[in-house]
Amino acid sequence: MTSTEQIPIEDIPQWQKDLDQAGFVRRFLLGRRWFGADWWFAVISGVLLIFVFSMAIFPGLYAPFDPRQEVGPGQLAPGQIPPTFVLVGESGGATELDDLIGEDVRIGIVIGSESAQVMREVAEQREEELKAEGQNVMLRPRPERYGTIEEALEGLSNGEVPAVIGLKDEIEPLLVSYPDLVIGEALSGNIQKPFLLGTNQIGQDVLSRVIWGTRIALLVSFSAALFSLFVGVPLGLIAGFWSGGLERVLTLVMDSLYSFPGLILAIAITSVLGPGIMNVIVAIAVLYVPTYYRIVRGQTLAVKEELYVEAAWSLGARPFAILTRYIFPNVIPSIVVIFSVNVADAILTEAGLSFIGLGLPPDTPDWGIDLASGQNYMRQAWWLITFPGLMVMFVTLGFSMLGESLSEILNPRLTEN
Amino acid sequence: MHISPLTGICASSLGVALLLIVYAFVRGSKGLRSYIVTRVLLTLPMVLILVSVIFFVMRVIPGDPVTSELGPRGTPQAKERMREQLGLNDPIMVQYVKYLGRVVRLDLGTSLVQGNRPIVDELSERLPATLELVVPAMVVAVGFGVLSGTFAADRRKRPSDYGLRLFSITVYSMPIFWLGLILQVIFGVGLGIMPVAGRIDAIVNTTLDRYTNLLVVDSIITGNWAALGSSLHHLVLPVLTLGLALTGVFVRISRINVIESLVEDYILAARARGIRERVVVYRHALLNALIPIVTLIGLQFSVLLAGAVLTETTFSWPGMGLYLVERIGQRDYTAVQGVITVFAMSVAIISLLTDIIYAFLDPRVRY
Amino acid sequence: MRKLSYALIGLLIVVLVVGCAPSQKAEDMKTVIIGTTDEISSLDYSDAYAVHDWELMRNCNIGLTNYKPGTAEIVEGVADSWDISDDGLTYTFHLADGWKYPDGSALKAEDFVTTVNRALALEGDIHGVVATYVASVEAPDDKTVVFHLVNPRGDFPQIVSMGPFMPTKAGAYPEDELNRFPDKLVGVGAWQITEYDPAEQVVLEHNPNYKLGFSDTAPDRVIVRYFEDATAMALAIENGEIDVAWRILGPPEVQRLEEVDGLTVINTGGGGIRYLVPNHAMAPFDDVNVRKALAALVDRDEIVDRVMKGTVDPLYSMVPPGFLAANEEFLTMYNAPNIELAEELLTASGYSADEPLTFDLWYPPEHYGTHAAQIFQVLEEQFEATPMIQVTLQTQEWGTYIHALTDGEYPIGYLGWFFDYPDTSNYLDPFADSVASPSMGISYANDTMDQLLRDAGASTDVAEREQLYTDAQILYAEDVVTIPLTMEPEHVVLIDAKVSSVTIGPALVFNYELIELK
Repeated sequence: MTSTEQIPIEDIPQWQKDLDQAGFVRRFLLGRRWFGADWWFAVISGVLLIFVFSMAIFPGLYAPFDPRQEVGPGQLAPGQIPPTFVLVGESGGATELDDLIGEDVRIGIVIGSESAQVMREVAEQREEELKAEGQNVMLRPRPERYGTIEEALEGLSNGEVPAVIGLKDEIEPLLVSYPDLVIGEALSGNIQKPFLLGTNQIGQDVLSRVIWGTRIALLVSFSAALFSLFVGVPLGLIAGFWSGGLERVLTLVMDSLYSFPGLILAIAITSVLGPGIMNVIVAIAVLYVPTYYRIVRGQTLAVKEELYVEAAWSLGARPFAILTRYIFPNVIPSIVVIFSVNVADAILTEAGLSFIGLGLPPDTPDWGIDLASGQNYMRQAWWLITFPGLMVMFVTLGFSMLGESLSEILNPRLTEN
Repeated sequence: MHISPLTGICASSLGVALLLIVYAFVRGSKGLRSYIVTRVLLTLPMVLILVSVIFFVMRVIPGDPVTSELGPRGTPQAKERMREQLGLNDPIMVQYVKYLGRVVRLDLGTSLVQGNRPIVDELSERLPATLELVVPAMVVAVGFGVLSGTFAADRRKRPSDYGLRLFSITVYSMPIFWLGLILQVIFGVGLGIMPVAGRIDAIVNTTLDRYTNLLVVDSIITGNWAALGSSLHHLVLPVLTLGLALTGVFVRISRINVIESLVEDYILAARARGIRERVVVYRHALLNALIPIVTLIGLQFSVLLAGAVLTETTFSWPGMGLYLVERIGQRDYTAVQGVITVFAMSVAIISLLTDIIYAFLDPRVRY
Repeated sequence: MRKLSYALIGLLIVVLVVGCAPSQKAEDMKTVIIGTTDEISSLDYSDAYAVHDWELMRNCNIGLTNYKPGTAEIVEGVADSWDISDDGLTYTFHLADGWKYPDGSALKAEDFVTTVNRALALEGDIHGVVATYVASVEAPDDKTVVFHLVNPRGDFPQIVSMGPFMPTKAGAYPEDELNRFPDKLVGVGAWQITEYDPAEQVVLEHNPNYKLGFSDTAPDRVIVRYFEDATAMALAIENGEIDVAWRILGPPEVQRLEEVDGLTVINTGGGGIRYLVPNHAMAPFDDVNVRKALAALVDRDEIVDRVMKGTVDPLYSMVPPGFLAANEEFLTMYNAPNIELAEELLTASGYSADEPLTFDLWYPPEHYGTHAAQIFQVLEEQFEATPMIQVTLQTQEWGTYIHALTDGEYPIGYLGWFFDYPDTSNYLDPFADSVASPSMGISYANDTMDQLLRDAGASTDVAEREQLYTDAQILYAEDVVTIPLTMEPEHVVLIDAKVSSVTIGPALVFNYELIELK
């Protein structure tokens, strides 16, 4: 494109000359003076990313629960304490769990509520306790589903069921109209403390899933970006170094792929390969090979005309040495920038693929999958799409900010007087 | 002969492209002419490569499209007939050559699921919807992005510069469907002022005669103002979603280019002549920086198409992206192959056009 | 530059004003907008074989027999009576007077012959179904249609209410090829479709010559709007963009919409079921004890309450409640979850905690909704409640999955079923009949079962059929041909301010002319 004008040697400020003498760490610290907020952008995103990496490597340290385990009631809002459930029976009738021993006992519950799950959990627990005491009994009441708690209590007082399980707070005010009903044993699920980011539709901890999702997201995006780096960079170096017919064909293929919408190509590949972590990595990796190829080839073409390369030639250096020792170091800064941007893009692409159902297996703790399944619940449980979405945003932001500030710092064309 | 909107759009865009190319060819220098010839000749292998990649990728199907389509109720005879009809019994190279032949004639085969409808007919209904979404989104992204990028360049290293850059990275980092969902919840069901699905109100739709299937155009040429209002109303959220997601790139690129041109000699000259700084920045520097931005529009077009897939899915927008997602779900391979082929061709044409416009505008391009 | 920006800002304001202004258009027609996530596959009577296509067809046309609105009871359609020959092989239908197409032309017996003969000759999607029942059809005069059957069928009056037995107006479709997207869909029913866009919407208008007429509260026009997914449709009805949300709403949408003021959610029942498919031709499920053990371990209630939040119903026989002879044999026989029984059965087959029964359980991750993964996590827990079983969950994407499952490559899988026509036979024959069973990946064969099903199919006596189907279900549960899991009722959501009621029967026939508006 346009040629870069040479900056006259006397225009280079003293600090930059100092910089060339300094070691890496000093150079990094000195950079703050000149690059200002860009330096801070880089440092902040660096810190953010270190935190994210530590989450990805040791999710167990951060996450309070196993991401796949159902640890609480479903759809609990962030910070909400799991409610207390109680058994309601007729006075003198069934008011304790032990009163419900026997085959084919039915208990009234409200359809779609957590009561059925609470009943199942406590009944199982009690049955085991009794078994330990030597009593081999059957405590497996079946749910009788009612539309509302009022209907359930009506059914109880009509003798349709011996007992009803429901929320204590909901039942108490209603008992006024049912004088013969009493609140019996309080039943609770396993956990009585609130969940920081709430629970999802089947009672998995959202916080734990978001943290474990970091591992999957970084695994996919890093593998994909590395894979394309290892393919794209050597191809670009070689193509830039030895021009020829093959190089032209390769460039044409790469240009074609580069011009094609990335996500659509990934959709095409995964729709054929099917969901699965390796398939997604491959599909995304294919997208970025042309990016490395184009940039590296372009820079190689430019660098190999430089005087010092000519000098190396005349000193009798071998092509491989020239390529690795004189040309490759020149392209490293751009590779770092592209890599960082690609990782960011890969995270977004993976989330997009999972969102339209072409990504990872559906039980994976992954942001894209959580977003897709949370989408169905977004009107009643806002936290299911909010937090995975924010995580995608922050991590992508970290990588793009790093890439952006690095390119600002490393781009000599932007240094001004 | 009945001309479908798809062939119409293809023909007219090819016509415009041709006109532009001819104009550039006639007006341009000798170097430009030879560049145009090479570039046009290069487009053909590019399209060929993309179409071939699509074909071979789609043929590595692990599942059998025939069985998955007919399901357990299909008899062996029915399966065999379908396989025959799809030409799946031919050797792969024969299938490939036949496929290329059909693509040249713009015959993309027939759908496996929607009762053997020609894919071209289906895309004729869908392509205008995508265009109607993508073009305004590009306008929003370029308009907003370029202005704020220039603004940021003007205030380089001041808080508003960093603020705008942070904004541009943030909108880039948001998953586009997530942004769409949040806008839907806030402006759709939350405030109740924006529709959340479709292109036009269902009742108004019955009053609208469609010619181009670009609803805004159709309602203007038929003078149906209710339909114009309704279709614009339905456009707001999807366009905002898609446009916002793309704004970041334009903020970044215009900022860098304006900064670069601010150190050029003619800017110094302009300043020396006492022209006001605002005019210097927004007229001289920006106009100069516009040239690389034009190229970027071409490149971003493909990003925009990818974003359209997710936006259309979120907003039930019956365009090509939604079609692609639907048909993947139904394992309709001919349809998937057809959509991607059309995507590939449009990308190739757009990139040809922007390259030529760029070369025409910027004499520094080395041919 | 400045002029340009003023112009841009001006344009933006115009766009916003025009865009946000409520689109006021004099609308005298009472219009109902029905949302659906279904789509049109074919509007050719001799081809269509999909729920939504038939719904449109039933609204535009009427067969010889018909469902009484809101019920699964078969009553006269355009025929006012019919005779059955003694051998049960010939059905003669007599047409009533007064049925007319929208253009005023009268219905002729020949119109039925056209549809059936096209279906038989053109090999569309419905071809197999028609050919199974009908050998030939003729119209001796304008008012009489005579069917000659392949085998005696007691339920033939039900069968002739389906799409391929509806009349086709002469000249509406080409004789020698299918036309899945005709310019319009007409018949002798209440409605006609004169304009549609399969990607967006279908407009139904009155058939001016409809014999039964319209009530005052009936809509003048119905628009069916197509949505990408249930979430989008739920948002649209919440936002008032549609008046009725119909198939297919998922559990989260139903749960949510029930809480929204101004909306009414109605459970319409329905015929979709889900079941586990053990492969009788492959170890370990060639062992009846193993199949019984699984039947004893499945806790359907847990799936219903915990995963599906009560939006589906537990299913204890392949025949869902409401159909002739439906019972709960899997409940009475196994009383699941019954770990003791399961362990007894497994011990009898030589399994123990040290040498547990191990198998792969297959399911498609996407095809049956986002809940499939959770259902299978729960099922895995239930099976592994005994140390004698170890399950490995396996997923395979749908295209490959259905292929492998029906070819008998999986030991056990998961499938859904939706009736072709609402009759008990349609819930037993495809799985238990030894001819049909292998193509479903089950490979069950039992002569007693075959005899029971064939006798029941031929019989026209309700009490006799009921007895035969009861016996068949007991045998089905004893042999554990498949394991029924859940029944998926459909839901319809109405906007209270506009729609008072809709009529949708157990056969999932939605008569648009019976929608009552406020």
